[in-house]
Amino acid sequence: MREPTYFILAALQDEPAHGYAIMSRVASLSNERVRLATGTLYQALDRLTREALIEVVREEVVNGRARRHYALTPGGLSALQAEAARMASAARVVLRPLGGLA
Amino acid sequence: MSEQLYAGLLRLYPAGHPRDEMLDVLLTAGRPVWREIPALVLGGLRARCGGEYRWLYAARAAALLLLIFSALSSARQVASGWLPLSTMQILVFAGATLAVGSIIAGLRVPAVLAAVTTFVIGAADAADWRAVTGYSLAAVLLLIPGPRTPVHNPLLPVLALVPVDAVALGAEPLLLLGVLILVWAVVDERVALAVGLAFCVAFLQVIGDLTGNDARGLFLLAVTRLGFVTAFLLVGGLAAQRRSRV
Repeated sequence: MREPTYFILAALQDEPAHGYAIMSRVASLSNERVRLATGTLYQALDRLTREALIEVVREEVVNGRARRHYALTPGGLSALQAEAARMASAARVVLRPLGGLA
Repeated sequence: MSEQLYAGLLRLYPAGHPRDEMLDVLLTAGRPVWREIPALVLGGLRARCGGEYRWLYAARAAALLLLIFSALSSARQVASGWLPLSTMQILVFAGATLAVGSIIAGLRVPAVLAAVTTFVIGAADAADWRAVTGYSLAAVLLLIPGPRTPVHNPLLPVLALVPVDAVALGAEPLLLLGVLILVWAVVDERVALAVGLAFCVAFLQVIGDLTGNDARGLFLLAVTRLGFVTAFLLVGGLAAQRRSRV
């Protein structure tokens, strides 16, 4: 899983969010390391919707413009958790307690 | 100012895309315009081209290239008097036209039937150029089963015209065209894959035409043509693999 995808899914794990909120949460969760351009964000949202990892759960009109709220699907949550477990397992290999080195 | 610029760029996206919502995000985020534009343009072009069934689409697009090229090559030979305009030849043209139309419309079964008919008539009509018959057969093989995948790309029929008179075009424009196709893989890698597959068929056909122990001819072909086949398939394949990753 690509890093931007991981953080987009992570941004949606607690509650649904609209495009700008996802963008802000991704930046915050990644300590400003992943800063998505709008075009990149919407390419990813389009791809993740096609792959059924996220879905549009609500639409509203704000300032005369449509705004959609995205949420994780059960498949998206499983994929996110599987990726997190994979990375945690890989991290343990390096970040093990000092006693384990002997 | 930036609102007008963004609204203009968002027209690159097809209708049905959330342009309004994207404009809202762009204006709310308020980032420097130069930072947003590249991804916005790339996203719009990719959304226009579509990107599903990459290899399947590429195989069908390659069949389209081969059929158009073979029909045009035959037509050229008829025009120059090398081939008579027989009833069989007219049927070959009709079959190829029907197959091309069916591929564009995404009608696989009619496309296969028309391509098979083109191949059978071309093979029965011994006067036809060998490669033309070989290309029709390759087109049949490339129309592999799969979901309905229309091949809507105005670039492909134009590309099929290029090899008809490649010598007249000259090496430099051809090389430039090849580089442009490879660069276009950033937006739509299926064109590079289709050209690579079509090149592969042409390469095999030329090898088939070599005399038994023409090692020098084989070496020259490998050096001049295999590089192109590899470049298109490698770049297209890598781009397809990258885009298929979630």
